[in-house]
Amino acid sequence: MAGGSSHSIAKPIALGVLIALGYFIAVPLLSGGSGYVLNVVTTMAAVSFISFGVWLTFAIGRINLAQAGFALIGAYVTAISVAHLGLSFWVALPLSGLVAAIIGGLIGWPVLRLKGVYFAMITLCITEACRLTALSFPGITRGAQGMVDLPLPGDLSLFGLVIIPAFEKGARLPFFYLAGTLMMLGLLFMWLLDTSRVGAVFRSLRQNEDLASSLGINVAKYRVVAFMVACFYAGVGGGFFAALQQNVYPTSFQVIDSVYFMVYCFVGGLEFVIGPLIGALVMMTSFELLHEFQRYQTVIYSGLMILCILLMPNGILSVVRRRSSKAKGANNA
Amino acid sequence: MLEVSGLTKVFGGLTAVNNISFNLSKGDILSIIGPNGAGKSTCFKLIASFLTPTAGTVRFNGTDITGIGPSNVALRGIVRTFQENTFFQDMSVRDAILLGHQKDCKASLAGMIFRTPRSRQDNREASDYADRVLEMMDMQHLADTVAGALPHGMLRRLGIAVALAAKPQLLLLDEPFAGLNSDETKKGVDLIRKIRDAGITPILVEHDMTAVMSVSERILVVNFGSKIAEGTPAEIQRNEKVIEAYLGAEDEEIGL
Amino acid sequence: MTQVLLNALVVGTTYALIALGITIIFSIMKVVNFAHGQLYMIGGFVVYYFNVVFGLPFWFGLLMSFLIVGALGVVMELFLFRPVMLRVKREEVTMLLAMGTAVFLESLALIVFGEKQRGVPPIATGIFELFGARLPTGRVVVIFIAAALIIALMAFIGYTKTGRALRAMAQDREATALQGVNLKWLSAMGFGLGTGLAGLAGGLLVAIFAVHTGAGTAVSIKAFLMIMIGGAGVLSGAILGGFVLGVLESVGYALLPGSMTFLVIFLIVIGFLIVRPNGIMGKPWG
Repeated sequence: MAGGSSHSIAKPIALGVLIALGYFIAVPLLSGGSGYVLNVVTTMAAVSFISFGVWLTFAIGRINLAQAGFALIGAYVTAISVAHLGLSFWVALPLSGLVAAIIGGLIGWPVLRLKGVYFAMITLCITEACRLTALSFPGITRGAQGMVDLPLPGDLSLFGLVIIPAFEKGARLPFFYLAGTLMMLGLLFMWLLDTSRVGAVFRSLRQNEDLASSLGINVAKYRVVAFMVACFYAGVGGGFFAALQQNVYPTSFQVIDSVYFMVYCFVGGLEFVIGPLIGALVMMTSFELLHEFQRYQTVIYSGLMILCILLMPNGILSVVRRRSSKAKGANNA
Repeated sequence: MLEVSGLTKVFGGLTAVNNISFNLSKGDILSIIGPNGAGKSTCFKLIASFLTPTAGTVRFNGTDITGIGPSNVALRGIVRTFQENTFFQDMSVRDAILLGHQKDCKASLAGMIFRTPRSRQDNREASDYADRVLEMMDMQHLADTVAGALPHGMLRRLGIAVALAAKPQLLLLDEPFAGLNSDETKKGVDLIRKIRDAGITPILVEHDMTAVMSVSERILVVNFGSKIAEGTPAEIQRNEKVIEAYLGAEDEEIGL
Repeated sequence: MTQVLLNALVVGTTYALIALGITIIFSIMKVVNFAHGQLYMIGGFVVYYFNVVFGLPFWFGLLMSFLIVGALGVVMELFLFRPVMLRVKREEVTMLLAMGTAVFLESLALIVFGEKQRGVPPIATGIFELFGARLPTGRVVVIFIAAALIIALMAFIGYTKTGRALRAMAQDREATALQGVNLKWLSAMGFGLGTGLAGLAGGLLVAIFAVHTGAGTAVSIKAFLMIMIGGAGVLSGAILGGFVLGVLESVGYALLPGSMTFLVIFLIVIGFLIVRPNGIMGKPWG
């Protein structure tokens, strides 16, 4: 597992690139120019990107409900950078991730000493604290009115060469490609991390921090690193949504969003790096399908979610895996 | 190589370890024994820096390592095992042993994630070392078994294997024989000798008197947090205070 | 200042009820009930319906809020938490289940009760004066009811057979089962008692503040703050946490602009948990 010689990662990456290309070509074709489908897919990709971060904190054995809070931080950093500071969106986006990661590191260092429910509760409070911060400093964030009419991402050029053209008003495709790229890169990095030694260390933290530290592993350092990476994902994802919606409100990311990010990880299965993506796909698709039930949409949706937990307490992918291992067992016999 | 002086730990008014001092030179098998609740385990945790002492110092190879934290102690070459079944539940034996090598990896975090040549070199070294540990512990056939599925006796063996993978100079074994039958205990005694012969100095905290007497070169007896005797097994067996302490404890255990 | 402290007393006593409810559930099931705030909100609406819509007395509505929300808790325990906890590998799952229940209850409430903010007519008229501070008599009545409920609850848990069985179960489920106690009903009843308290708190506070369907999450967050301050799983800690939060909140609202109060409280609690990760009365647990 920690072995990873070069060819063992080359093959899956090649396969991933193929799937990515297929995704980038097929989805716009299949959507048949429907803005609605493209919007949903874009949101789904960006949301699963943010959820990867939650997944990572699950991997070190922490239930992280702060993700929406850090996404809100990222959203405001992007909004303030492009609206007040006049920075390019392409600078603001990674900057949002960095700021979220740094704040995450500062808060995470002490808070990550807490475990289990305590950590879940405190991170929930962090999300709420982020919302209240946005409300409390209207001089910078415009408070409850929110920051609206943010400029669309401009072009990204390097040495006079335009790499990404400026986003046009009303165009859906640029955001679809951006979200898709983020999702793919996010997944690639998570996968590299999970299959590396660092991933093994993270799993060891979830299973027993004392034992890990007795082996000379700096537990505090590793869990802060994991949390900072998670916050980076949140920050970048939040920044993306600020650009996509061209506005940010203190309510853009709330406690319930943190819960949903966690739901996506859980539904997809916590043992698999691709879990958040599968979870977001399944849950968001079903939410959209329930659209015609209008005001009953959320009730049915949450009802299905509860049912899902009742029937598959270990996630969808775990069921798939159980099937396949059963099939294997049958073959051997 | 290890000098413990005046080690004291007070838990809210209760003195668990009281002014314990001893020295240990490389290659000696030392056992710390004493009745239940005598403070052996606390003493152990203080050395491994899982607890910070109220007073006293622990010096290792001449440097003061008092209270520097478990991972730093491990980096300097002191690794402990655990009493209860503390293990990585979902990890295979081999993966757990590979993890023990983590502290000797030279690649940076990013290097590990992006598979730099240096990190691949680390992985090869870890893999070779894991093979050696598996062989030494006679666990090759269990390499791919998940820890949670191992039988009880093997878990203890796994604990020692993982600790060995961290290449300790000093290995603190917390009740390595607890819950083992006499046959397993005999194997354990051989194993501890083997570990010593491989250049690692073991310290034991143990209950099992027969095993302790046969494996130890020196014994330290602790009662009510204080050291009451120190010497060779033969000396300890004759020591009045020790006999008294153990008889007293036995009375309690039997319930007289 | 007396005024602020009196306000703190009003809020603190009802908060203590909320914290006691969540603590009872936590100590017997090891589940943090994320739906607690939603149950509180439902309790408020029950009182509103009985008192305003059906025109029945306030105390009757209060009784019904306890019974109805308590019954809801029993159902949740029997049909949701128990089956999942029997099979589940990780504690995250029960937490998620509680969150899912919270979303479900809130969206259901939105359909049944609508978006409007609801309140009840004052339960008592007049102004009560104490050391120069003025308090509407209605609030004084609320303090007394809440205090009486807390005392009754502590007496129930401390001195009745069922209460002792609940405590024993919180300590050690297996040992309690060995003594021939029917764990199944006891645990469902404990859960129901916990949610019933949330309903009672909601029902009581509707007499002071109005209730609306979106109130749940904020109440849950306050409940978490209280048990983090007091220590999870300890009844005395829950009461203490309730009062501490009541004081912090009242002082904060008196001194700071609106949204700052809870921001400051969050920072205080985060700072406090760094020093005392188990709260004031909490025992260490992982």
